[in-house]
Amino acid sequence: MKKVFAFFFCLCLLVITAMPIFAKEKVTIELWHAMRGEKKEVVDKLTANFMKENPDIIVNTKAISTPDLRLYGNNYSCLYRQLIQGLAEGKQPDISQVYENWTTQFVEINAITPFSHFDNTPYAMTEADKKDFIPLFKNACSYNGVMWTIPFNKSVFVLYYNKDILDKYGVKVPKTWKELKEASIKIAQSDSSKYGIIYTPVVDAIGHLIYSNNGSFIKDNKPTFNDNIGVEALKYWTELANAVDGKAGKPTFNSYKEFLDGNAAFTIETSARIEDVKNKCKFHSGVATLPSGTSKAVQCAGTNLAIFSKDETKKLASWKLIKYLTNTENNAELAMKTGYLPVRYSTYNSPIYKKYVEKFPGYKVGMEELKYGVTQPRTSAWESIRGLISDALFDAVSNVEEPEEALNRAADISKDLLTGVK
Amino acid sequence: MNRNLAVLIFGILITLLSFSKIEAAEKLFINRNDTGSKIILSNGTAYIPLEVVAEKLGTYVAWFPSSRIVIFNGVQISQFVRRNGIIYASAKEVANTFGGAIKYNKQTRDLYLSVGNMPFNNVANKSNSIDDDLTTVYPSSNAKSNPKNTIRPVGAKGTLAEGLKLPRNVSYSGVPSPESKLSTYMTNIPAIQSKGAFAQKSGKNSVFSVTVTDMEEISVIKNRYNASAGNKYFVIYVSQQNISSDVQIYTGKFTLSDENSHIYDYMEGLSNYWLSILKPGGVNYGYLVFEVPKSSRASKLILNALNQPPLAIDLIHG
Repeated sequence: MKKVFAFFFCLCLLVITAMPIFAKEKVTIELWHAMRGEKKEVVDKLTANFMKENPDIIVNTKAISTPDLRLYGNNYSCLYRQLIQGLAEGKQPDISQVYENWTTQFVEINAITPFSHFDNTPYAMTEADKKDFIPLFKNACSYNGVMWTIPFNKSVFVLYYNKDILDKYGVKVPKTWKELKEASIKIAQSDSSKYGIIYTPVVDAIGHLIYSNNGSFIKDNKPTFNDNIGVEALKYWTELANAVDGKAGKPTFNSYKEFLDGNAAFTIETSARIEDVKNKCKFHSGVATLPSGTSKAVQCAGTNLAIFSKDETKKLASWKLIKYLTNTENNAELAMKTGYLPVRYSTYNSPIYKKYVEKFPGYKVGMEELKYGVTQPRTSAWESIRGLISDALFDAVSNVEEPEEALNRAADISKDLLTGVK
Repeated sequence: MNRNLAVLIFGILITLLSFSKIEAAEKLFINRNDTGSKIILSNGTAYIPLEVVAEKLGTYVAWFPSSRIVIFNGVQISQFVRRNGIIYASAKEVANTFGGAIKYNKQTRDLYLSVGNMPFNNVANKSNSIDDDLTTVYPSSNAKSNPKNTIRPVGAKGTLAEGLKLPRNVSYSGVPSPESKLSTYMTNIPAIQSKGAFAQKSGKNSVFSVTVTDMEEISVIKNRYNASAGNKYFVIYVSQQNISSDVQIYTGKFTLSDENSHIYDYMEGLSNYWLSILKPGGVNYGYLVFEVPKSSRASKLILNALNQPPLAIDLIHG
């Protein structure tokens, strides 16, 4: 009896001492993003699913949002500020959304990990996987041929229109910028209670015209946005702002809401607004590709995911999460719930996404535009230069400054920023 | 064929006549006199050419191109547009500088500006109907005009507001006014420190060198963001250089201290100072916007960076 007791006692002791060896230690990682509303809900749902499938990984998500736009800027500028403060203090997250021009800086100081880091692990990105990403997005994530980030919530600018207004005044959906101007003037002249086009007076508005007329913002590290193409782009918005008592083209920071309220025939926003437009408009709305200039080009928007972890275990856990969030199935889930574009061909061609697209023709527009997609400059100084060009646009459309003079002033300061921010 | 041609010519004539009617409309009258100038109507606001008004009323307009500030009759104009080199200001704001009134004829779209007690009756010349068509736009019937507001003729005496520095690159219109006299017209302007007039001020510690290149006061940003009641905005143009031999990832946060040592955070959403990781020698530029009480005077710009004592730039003494 004593021998039996001693045997079981030893067995229990062995099990107890061996438990930590067999028990898998949990790793906790942190994901920062700047999404709100339904977009945040999708991220929360996907990370919860990930934790169910990977019980050894705990993911804490932190949605950065601003309590006061004037005081703290928008959610993404808050995210950037917290990221670099976190990096300086060693309190950075393991994963975060990042824009391409942020990535330039993070690559330069080795703050993030490229995905080639996992090449010799069972979780390496396969060649098929790499080819599955839509080239425009993949290239925006790559620096010197190395993929440092993974495309996540991507979109392109599209033209939204109020079909009821267009039908009432016999206006066709414009295919060129010239047609858009004529249509906007016609509507403003026909109905004094409506605006032609209503838009946010920021750099993207000039970018639509610059890129679709084969221009550029910056070339060879020098500002080019004040060349003839840039000045003509700004004149376009200035002329619209001055036509029909300011009714043909209204620049306002409230443009999206005013469009939803039915006050204008057109607005330009990213394709990520499509669900909102479809569900919130009390009129018949439509989505079209952006008008053409001498060529066709459409600016991309949205962020990518980057790994900031310094610890190898956390790096691997982060990589697993990024792979999960951007796999075909989950990429489709994000796209269908939010209006963001698929970042993979396999998502776009998946039966579930194809079925979704069939529900509303506007869903196809963003994907159709991708072949004309362009990305804004990735230089470190771009964020400040964006602000300067936006100021120039605002001054010109407010008739405070002539377009050329406003752009030249912005270009002068940009020259210093392009050489100074190093 | 001939009939078609006649119809075409008739159509063209009608069109031309219609356009000529539009061209003739939207005129500016001052004290019943046609100025020969047009007004601009935009988004429900009537804008009138300042130079013309200044000449007719015997006052002046000053334009500060670098800071885009317009002074009319001693008052800073917040709502204005520039078109083809001409500055147009909100008719209401212009009238308010001297207690004037505005009437508008909806039919002809002409605008009538009156000074003081000049009556509007019989405007536009004896037509019974036109007078009836005029609508008082400003001031409203129950509003009282400010009796202190008057026309400030050239040469009016005043005290130069404390801290006011005469900006360079000022262009004048209206009654000719020598630069040396400008200060006498600006008695109502509370210590505007304009771009181009500001003597830059610098400070440094072992990591950063900070230079304030310019500073100005405004009440509205982008025609949208009005300072709260009793407040104003300070816009401070700043450059920051990493003078250390290390990469500086977080370059710190600027705050403003006023003369009473009240500290204010800058308004990131209204500023254009995008934080940048600065390598050794790297420089960042931009402007910071602070909202402060109207009575405040900017005293120090303070940079609070990690692991460093605060770096304060004296904005008054340099």
